[in-house]
Amino acid sequence: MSALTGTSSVLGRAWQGWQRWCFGAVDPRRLAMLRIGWALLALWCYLPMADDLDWMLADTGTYSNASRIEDWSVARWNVYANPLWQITDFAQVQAVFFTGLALLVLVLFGVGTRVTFPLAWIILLSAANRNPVWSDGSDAILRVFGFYMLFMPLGRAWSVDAWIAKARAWTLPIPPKWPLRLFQIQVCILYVKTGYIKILQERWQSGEAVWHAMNNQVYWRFQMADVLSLRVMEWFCVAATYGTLVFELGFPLVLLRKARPWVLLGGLGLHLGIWFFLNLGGFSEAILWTYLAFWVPAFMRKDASQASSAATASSSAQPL
Amino acid sequence: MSPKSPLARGLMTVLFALHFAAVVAYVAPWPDEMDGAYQVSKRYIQPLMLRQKWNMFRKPNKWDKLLLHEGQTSAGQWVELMPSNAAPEGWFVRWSYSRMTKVHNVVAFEGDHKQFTPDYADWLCRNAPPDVVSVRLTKRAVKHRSRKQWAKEKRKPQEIRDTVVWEQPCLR
Repeated sequence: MSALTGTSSVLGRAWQGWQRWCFGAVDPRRLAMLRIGWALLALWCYLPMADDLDWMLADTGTYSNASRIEDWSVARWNVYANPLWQITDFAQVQAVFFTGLALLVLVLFGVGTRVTFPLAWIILLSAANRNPVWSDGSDAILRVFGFYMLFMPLGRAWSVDAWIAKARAWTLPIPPKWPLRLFQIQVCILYVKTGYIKILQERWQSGEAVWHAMNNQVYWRFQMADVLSLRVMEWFCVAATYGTLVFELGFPLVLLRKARPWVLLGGLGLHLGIWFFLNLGGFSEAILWTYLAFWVPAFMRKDASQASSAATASSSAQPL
Repeated sequence: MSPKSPLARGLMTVLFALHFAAVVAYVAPWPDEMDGAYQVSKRYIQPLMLRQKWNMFRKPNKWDKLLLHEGQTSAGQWVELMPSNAAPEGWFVRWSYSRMTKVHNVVAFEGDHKQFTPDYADWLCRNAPPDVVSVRLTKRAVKHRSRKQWAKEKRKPQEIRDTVVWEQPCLR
């Protein structure tokens, strides 16, 4: 390790750079943005389920207990993730579900975040495990990225927790950056994986993939017959097919400061376009929420530059 | 908590690398002979509830797959028990999203969760009108038009293929 810590070698410089990138400090408001976004997104995706709990989660619903156990043989013993499996009474299912919604509201306002966030996360993935058939991409995003958020101190800013800490004059350490970095790397894996698997497919190579995606009437947000008959759609769909591949495979460029705004703008255009034409549940909203992990609002940048100019040279914290 | 010592940071770096190696091994489209990498990563990923695929329109179909829900009455008539996920005729806007869309897809595509289909048929039976004696789930494949076909033949019916996925009597 000592050989790596020397700054003279290339490896040493790389190690120093990695340490700065991964183990520095982060502005707690960036984590608060993720927390608020996660809670709003979860409420957006799960609140409409309140009317459908009978067929989605009840034992008399669309998925029998026996099938559930066979389907999720690995997850079965994972009791921490499946408290709903122990429940057979529908009233109890409703009670757990509405408890989950109440926890989401507490997470939104940052009340007891260290406890409420993990509990809300467990109830969300437990619901999806009880009947995985209705679970879609937005649930996967809430679940997988929620895992990385378990390691973040989410209540240090814009929260009741922070308000209480300030009122009692508690001094809290600046949050570490590494959980946010793990989150960012996972977003990159998501895009590169989907881009890679698509580029192997004939329909993406030939430029017709977006045409067929837009023809899928199951997901039409509105009547598309007139839109699909427009001459412009011929080149638009080909351009969108290849543009999607370039964007997804190139997404890791978001880690470079100069490229970041352009990558995020490209993603915003792509996902708002998908949202406009296709109703995929909460997927577009969910994937755009992950962009908050890369976005540093101007007022945070300003605060950071003021802090760094005021700080002494001894400060190693780089909140952004 | 952020580790301060180089040793702790080094150990955490190794942990992160192993974690993401497992994630990549889990999501990667391995050929059959490399299935072992997936099987090993599964033992780490699934207990942590980090199951993920990220396929996202990997292979858009040239056919839509709709699911028809029919019930046969004691008089021998077939009646629709639930609307399919086909687009309505005329102008419409789908503001909200029904989770039933995903359920229809799972049955119509006959992919994962194969044991779900008989459970779903049982549920249909339980919720069907009392005179329904059997239920039938039919996959309706509707071929996509080309741009020129949309422009010229908008009112012409699209090519359709029906396949019965599941049929069973309702035991009451």
